[in-house]
Amino acid sequence: MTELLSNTPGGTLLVFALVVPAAGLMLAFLAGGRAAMRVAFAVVAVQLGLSIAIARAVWDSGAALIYLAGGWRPPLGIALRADGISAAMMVMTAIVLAAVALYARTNFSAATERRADLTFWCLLIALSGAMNAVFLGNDLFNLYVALELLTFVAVPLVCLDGKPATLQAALRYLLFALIGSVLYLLGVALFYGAYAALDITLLRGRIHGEPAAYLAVALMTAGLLAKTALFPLHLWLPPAHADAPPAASAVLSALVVKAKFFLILRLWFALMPTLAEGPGADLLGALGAGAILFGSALALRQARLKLLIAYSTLAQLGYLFLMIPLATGPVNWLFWSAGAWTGGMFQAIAHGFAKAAMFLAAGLMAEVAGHDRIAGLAGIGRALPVATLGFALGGLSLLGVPPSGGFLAKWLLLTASIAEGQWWWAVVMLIGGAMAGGYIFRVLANTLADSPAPLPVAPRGRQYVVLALALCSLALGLLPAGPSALLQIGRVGP
Amino acid sequence: MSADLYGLCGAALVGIGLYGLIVQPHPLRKILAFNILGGGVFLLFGVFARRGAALSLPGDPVPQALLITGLVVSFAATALAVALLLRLAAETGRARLDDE
Amino acid sequence: MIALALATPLVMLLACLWDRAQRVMPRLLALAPLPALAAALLSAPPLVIDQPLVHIVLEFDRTGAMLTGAAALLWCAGGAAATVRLRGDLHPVRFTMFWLLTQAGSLAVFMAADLAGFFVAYTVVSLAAYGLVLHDQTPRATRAAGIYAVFAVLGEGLVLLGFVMLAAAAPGQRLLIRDALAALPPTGYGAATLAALIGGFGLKMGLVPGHVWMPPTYRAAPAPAAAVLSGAAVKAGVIGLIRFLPLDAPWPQAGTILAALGFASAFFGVAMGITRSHPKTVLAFSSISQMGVIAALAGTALMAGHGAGQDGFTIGFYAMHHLLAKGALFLAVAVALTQRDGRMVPLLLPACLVALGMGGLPLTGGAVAKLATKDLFGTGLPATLSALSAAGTTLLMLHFLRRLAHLLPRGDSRIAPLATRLAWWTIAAAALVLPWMLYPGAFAGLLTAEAIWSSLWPVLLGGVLAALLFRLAPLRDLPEDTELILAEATIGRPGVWNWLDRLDHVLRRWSAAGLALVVVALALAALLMA
Repeated sequence: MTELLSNTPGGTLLVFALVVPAAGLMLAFLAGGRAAMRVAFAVVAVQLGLSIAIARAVWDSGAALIYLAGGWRPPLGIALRADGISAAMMVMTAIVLAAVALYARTNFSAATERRADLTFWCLLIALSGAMNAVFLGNDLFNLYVALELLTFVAVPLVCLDGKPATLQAALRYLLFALIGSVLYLLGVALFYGAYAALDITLLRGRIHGEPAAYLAVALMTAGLLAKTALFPLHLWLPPAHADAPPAASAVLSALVVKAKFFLILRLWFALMPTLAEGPGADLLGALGAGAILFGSALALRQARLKLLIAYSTLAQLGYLFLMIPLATGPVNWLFWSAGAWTGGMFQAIAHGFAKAAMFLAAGLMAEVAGHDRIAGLAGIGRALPVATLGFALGGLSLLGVPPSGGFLAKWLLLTASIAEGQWWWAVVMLIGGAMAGGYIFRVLANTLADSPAPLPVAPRGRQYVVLALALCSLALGLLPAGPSALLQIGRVGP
Repeated sequence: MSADLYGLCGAALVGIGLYGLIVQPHPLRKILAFNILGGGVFLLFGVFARRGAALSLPGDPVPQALLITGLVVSFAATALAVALLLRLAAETGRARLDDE
Repeated sequence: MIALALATPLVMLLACLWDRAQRVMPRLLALAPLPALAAALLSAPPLVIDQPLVHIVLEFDRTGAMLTGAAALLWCAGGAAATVRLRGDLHPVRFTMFWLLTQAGSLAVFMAADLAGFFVAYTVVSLAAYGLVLHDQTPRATRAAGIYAVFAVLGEGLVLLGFVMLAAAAPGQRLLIRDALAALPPTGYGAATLAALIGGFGLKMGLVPGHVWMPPTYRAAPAPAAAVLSGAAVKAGVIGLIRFLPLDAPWPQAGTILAALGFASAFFGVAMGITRSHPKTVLAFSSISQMGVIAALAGTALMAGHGAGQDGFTIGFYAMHHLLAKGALFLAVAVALTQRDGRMVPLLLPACLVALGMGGLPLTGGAVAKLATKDLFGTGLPATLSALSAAGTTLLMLHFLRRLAHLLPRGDSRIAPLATRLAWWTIAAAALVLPWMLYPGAFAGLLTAEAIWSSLWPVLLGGVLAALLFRLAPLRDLPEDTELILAEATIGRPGVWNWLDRLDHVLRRWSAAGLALVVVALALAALLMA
């Protein structure tokens, strides 16, 4: 099916998804202080509504929504496009951001105004816009700008507290991400030089296996891998995600890395749909497998809870990349390939909810215990029963326990790998699952233990935020029908 | 002819920048290397703009627009990196990326 | 009806989140399985949930109803004993929540007729039991729970692999177990699938060499929890074998391996069990041994391939007796642990009958269960091994009875709470009587002299062996924690994995990561342009 690049009904919604945060950001910056928080809440709420409206519109029309900026057609104009995976990721992003905003209200609203508070709320608004720009962009250069926006939002989030360790982590993150950006930009230049177009849909029609296209996409993918922190390019992720304030860690781990992965999917499935059948996909799969094994093993060895969660992110990202060699294949595999596609996206979404829940729970635990050493978490289960439950549910989703969304994701990927004769990925996934069991149970056993001195029972409000996020991950497994059909809309086959 | 020259220069800058980013230990040098790397890529955009001239245009305007946007982005990135570096140096008295 | 049966424990579980209900729920544990018991007795109609990607069918067949009923009865009695145990406990609510969750999974696993439903139930019963093992939080309980979790997750992984392979061989989203089995090709693929399934369920059943988690776990769990875990929860593995082995066609090699594994466990359990002193540990080894017999039965059935209907029921029937008998004996330990009473007869007499029944003492339920396996084991080597294992079980059970009597202090007179004793008597009676009621054949066959002799001689042999052993060669006790130490050693000593940290440190150096990025970019370019 070839898509026509013209405005579709509902396309205007896409513009609002970008304009609202941009306007909100300016407003918040000017208003300052507590007003910034209110603006952020308003933006997050509007974005939630918008993303659901977009998902509905995609669902109703059964095809991608397209908006041409200013009515100009590509190659000169710039198109915004929302297909099923964009819509699903936007909804996930909006929900996680809303939850994080509710959670962070306590941390970032000091009575005396601090710079960190204003920065946080502004960054939260900007993040919402940057994520949407990644999900909606159909123009490679536009996507570059979106990527950079995302980096500029993510880096300050890492070092909000201004401690030397976090500053160093942020600088490492920024510099490594910049190499990735330049590689991406180099690819963009090559594409423009070869085809005089940057619109993904247009380019798809123009590329016929020229070497320049392959070189360009290899550079762009490598750049995005550096920004996704896929093993062995993970140097910046553990310290950046583990030392940031919990609310920031949650969005970094749950959302920001997913956006980069999303772009890789765009390149490999929308821009050049034949790529994923070649040996390059196996390389990405192999790196993903390495990430699963390495990340899980290191997560098992961490003494600090937030580092454990960060390494677990490393491992869970690996599962996403297994989708690339699996979500393609000859015609007789199409059934499984669609399953792998759904499975990979479910993994992205379920992990988003679960990981946000876990980081937020870890934040509460650190507040109550005064530290985040796993061995010293005794009594937390009593002080924070709801948050511990949320952590457990999130963890079980990572581990792939039914009926969670994580289970369904892994089940679909596993069946696809066996059915397509690529059983080695299944072995890696199962080993990863067993190790995930190890590190989740290790944390839970410590939180359930009796503490020598009882900890104060914490207020419930923010704990319910954690639980709600974990339940979202669970709900995906219980009601998968709608989301899985949505994810197939606008998918480009080879 | 000159387009080829610019292209080669661009490629050389990319190589130098990449080398510097990976090998130079000091963050400030890395930031500079990033700018060299970026410069190389922008030069390539210039080359592609020049190609448009072959179509009896004075120059393809699209790469020029991209280039300007890219410059702004890379300026912002440099500013952010320098700000972080200054803050790091102020907090710790030294600026290093690796712990050892 | 089925929905009600499963909703009851789950609703009670949710109620535990509500402060006011929290105090009541631990007292209602005995009531939670009653709807399931009723549903099993009435053979309630199936429950079907049909959604794209989620297709779940819960229904009763003969085997499933029998096991559900017996398990519900045991959960009931165990619940009564647990309520007593929870008086004055530090964490009654937490125990109650894990108990209810484990129970829901344990009962649902017998009803599931499709892959997804089975896996959900199986996972719930396996993982939730962790909380019951951990409950006392002594150092021993913490270690045992850790080992339990590792083996449970490993077993889950293998079972999941088997399920995935089944599903991949049978495309379609609505996977009933029987359809999946019918689509299993009789090739290397099929054999690999069976290997994964047998490995997974074998770990759950504690077959040698995957048995190391079982003794520490049952030793550490509170006695009522040990009763339901060893009686009901472990049967998730048995029902797994019954449901997922393709018993309709002969698989000689897989069957032989399973049977060999089973008999090895049967004798190993006896040999190890008589070297331990605590009754709970002895019972755990008896479980390993009995699960071995069940695996041997399943292996023999797989070799023959007569048909799932009859052979599956036979395996289930034997398992049902073990479910009740083992549950009863653990409850006897629970009584003994709370008893401060010199009167031993009300405890020990039924215990003797149930324990020796496991060895096949004529006229007990155990003898019926043993006789029911006669057809399947046939007359050759399997039959001989089965009889010898019965002798071994008798020996082990006599050892258990000695240790149990040892547990009872003399002189002081404080009797165990009535609820615990009632629970114990109920399950003991059920173990003795229910197999008679559910026996599928004619009673006449059970009462012939030949039949009685065939179950009697192993018991006599076991008795003679016991007399010889206890008199002539007093056994040196092995340390209680042998298995714990063994298991921890297999998982890895601290320090073995330190190289991982070093590798991470190297990879995260700037120059290494930068180089890796360049290499990845070049490799990708080379692979794509090739």
